[in-house]
Amino acid sequence: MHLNARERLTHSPHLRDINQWPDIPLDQIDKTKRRVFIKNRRSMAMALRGFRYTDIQDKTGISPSSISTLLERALSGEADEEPPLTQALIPWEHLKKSRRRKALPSLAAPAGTRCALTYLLDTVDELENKLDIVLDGYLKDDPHAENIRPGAFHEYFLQLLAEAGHPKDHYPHTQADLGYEALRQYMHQRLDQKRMERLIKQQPKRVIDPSQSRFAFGRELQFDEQTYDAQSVVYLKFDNQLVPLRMARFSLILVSDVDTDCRLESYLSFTQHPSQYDIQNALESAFTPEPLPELTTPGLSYNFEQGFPKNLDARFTRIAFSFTNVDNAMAHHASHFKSFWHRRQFGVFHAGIPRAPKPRNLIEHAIKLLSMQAKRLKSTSGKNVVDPDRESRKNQKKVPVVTVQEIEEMIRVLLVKHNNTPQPRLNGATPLETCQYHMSHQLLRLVPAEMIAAYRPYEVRQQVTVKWLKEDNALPHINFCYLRYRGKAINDAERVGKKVEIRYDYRDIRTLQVYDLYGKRLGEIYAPKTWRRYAHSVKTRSYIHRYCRRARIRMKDPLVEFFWLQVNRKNSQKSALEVMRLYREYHATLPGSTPINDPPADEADTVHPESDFTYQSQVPAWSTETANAQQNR
Amino acid sequence: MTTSALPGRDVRVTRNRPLRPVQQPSSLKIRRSADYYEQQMVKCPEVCAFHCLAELLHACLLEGDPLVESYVPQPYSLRVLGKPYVPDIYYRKQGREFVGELKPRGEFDEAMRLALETFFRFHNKTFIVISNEAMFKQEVLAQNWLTVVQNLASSEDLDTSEAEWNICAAVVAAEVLPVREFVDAGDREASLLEEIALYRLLHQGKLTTNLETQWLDYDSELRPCI
Repeated sequence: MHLNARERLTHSPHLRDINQWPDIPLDQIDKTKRRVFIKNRRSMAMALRGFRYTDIQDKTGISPSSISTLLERALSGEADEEPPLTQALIPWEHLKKSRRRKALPSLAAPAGTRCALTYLLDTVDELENKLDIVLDGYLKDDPHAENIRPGAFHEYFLQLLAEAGHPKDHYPHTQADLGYEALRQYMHQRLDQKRMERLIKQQPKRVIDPSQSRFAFGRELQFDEQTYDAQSVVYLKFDNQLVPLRMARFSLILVSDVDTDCRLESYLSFTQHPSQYDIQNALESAFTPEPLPELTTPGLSYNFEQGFPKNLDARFTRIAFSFTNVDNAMAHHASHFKSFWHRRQFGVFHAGIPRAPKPRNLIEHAIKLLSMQAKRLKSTSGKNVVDPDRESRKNQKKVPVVTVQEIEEMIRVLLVKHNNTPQPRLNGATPLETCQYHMSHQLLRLVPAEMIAAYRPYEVRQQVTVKWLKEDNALPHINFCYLRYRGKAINDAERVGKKVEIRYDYRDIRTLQVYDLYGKRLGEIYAPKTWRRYAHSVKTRSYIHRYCRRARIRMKDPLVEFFWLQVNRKNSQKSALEVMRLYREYHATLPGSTPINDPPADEADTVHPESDFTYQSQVPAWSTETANAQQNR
Repeated sequence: MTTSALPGRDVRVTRNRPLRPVQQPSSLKIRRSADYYEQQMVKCPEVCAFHCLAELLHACLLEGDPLVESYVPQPYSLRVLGKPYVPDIYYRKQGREFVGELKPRGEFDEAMRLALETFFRFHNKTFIVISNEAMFKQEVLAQNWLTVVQNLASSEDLDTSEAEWNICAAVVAAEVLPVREFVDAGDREASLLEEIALYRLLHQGKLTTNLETQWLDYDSELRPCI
């Protein structure tokens, strides 16, 4: 409903007081308009107080008709809209969108072209709608549409005008550019308008994060795995020679606390597709008390006493995180990773909706910061293939200068520095200081030490059936991971064909512990002798067997020969990555692991309490003599 | 959508006949496409799966309600009006059984609601539709109960009967005591039993504290409820 000035003052009596009108500071008004604005405002104040228009004219010089016009301009409008008020007192101020009243210019009657395009869009049938169809197709990524450009849009415009029968002697044909510039501006404005409407419509409606959450260390943990954007070199010693091998990019797993922005751990995984085991290793490492490793790289130093929360005190290794936020990678839905949450942290496992990385913004940003440092190295892969910082062809012909260990130490030094850097969002405190403060002053959740002791992160339990090939005169066996395991524990005719439970450390599957389904320990069983020389994981054995299916290596003593073959393929960067992973696995210090040769003569003499499920690492150093001995066997 | 003359006949049980509430496994497709949560709970003593934040908060509120005896998320596998359907929650409260569905703004298809209400009424259960917004209004309370549940889940083997008795007696005598009276901030290991006993008493409804507007902390004031 339209209100005139008198009706507006009846509807909103408070507007009679000009002090209730919005205040526009004089310095925001153009200098040339200020005098008239002041006069208008003065006359408006007098008119609202009831002064006679002739008296106002005497005082201000504004005629009564102008005063009426000014009142209408300032106060009239739709009832449900705000009137212009003070803005209307600025001389020549545009209060409404400009509309053309005059006819379009033609060759016979030239005129200005102000608002001519808007006039055309309003008067020509379906012109605006059809132009919108072109823009909508572009924004919606319609496969039948085109990536619209101003030139093409102009052609559409002229064609639609011709189809609508618009006279050829009227605007835009009276202009040299045929209205191109006006249409170009219209196209961009309309695109922005439509983009905004789509964005507003596309805003997520479902709630995926609580609006209120406690600010505390241990509330939410985030981690992510990403390929590190730099290649490195690894030196392997063969025949008393150091052989440099260029290595493909490895993966970096970064673990961080959300509220304090404190980095908990970085873990290098020598594969470009980290598995659940790699993630579990990274998480275990974040809660394992150990001092900061010594730096061996010249020029690097920590500069701080404390590096990570686990270095602070024992309570930080027992901290239990309430939430974790992960993406939908298959490794995150795997049993080992989830068992860390349900049997070690007792927290909420949260896998968010696909293509929604914002809830994991912190860790994505953290990895991006580390990537920026990676791009300082000459052996970086850069942001894309045309990045000028990407490693040049000249350097690609040689091995990189930086080694894996140097990169590892660089990353650690950077994370230690981050944890000791004051942050504005923490009121000037460092992440480590904030963690300590929260631990002392807030009731954080700690897992009881007994539960941590009872949790065996690398132990896997599985039910299998005992088999017996009587015709071969063989002892009973269990099929596990491509091999037959035998031992006194299953040499019982009553167990043949029945299920038993095997428990093993997935990092070293040379032996399996056998239990019956009621939890009573039956003993140990062993892999064939050829598989007992070195500790190897489920992943390694599976990889070797898949590789062997292509009949590229002999099965006799495959571990050593496989390693040797990888070394001989040293020109392959991916193989070098595999060599590094194998090398570290073979020389891993597993507490309690021993090279398994033969089963002990009397198992009753060996003590295997459940709490002592550990291995000692005594794997002999690999050398060419050993390999050759195996080859010539 | 047309329904039969007896709406309850439009509902069929596809798994676990008779109507026994057992958590239905979530397919990998749902786990990877929904806003998926898993948590070891107490009144439902297993790892419970939730398909949105509202369901998790609702389960936490059920944990905190001393009148609720037990609950099961995703309890049944049904076929309603020809389409597969899994309700969000089943719970027992004061001897009555409820089957619930959580929906934004409480909007649920009327034909399905009618069919399910009739079907469950025949089996002496009440079917209700709960709005997500009602859960988000009690976010702080639900998250506090989640903290209590996580503490209880991590210490189910600890015997705290003596500590519970001592804490109850102290709180009843003093009428109000802060949490720091029982939990030593400097040596959490030494006061572990008291801490867990405190959470158990809160969970059982024998002690109460303000969990609606404040986070559970050392300064939270405990009051007796017995």
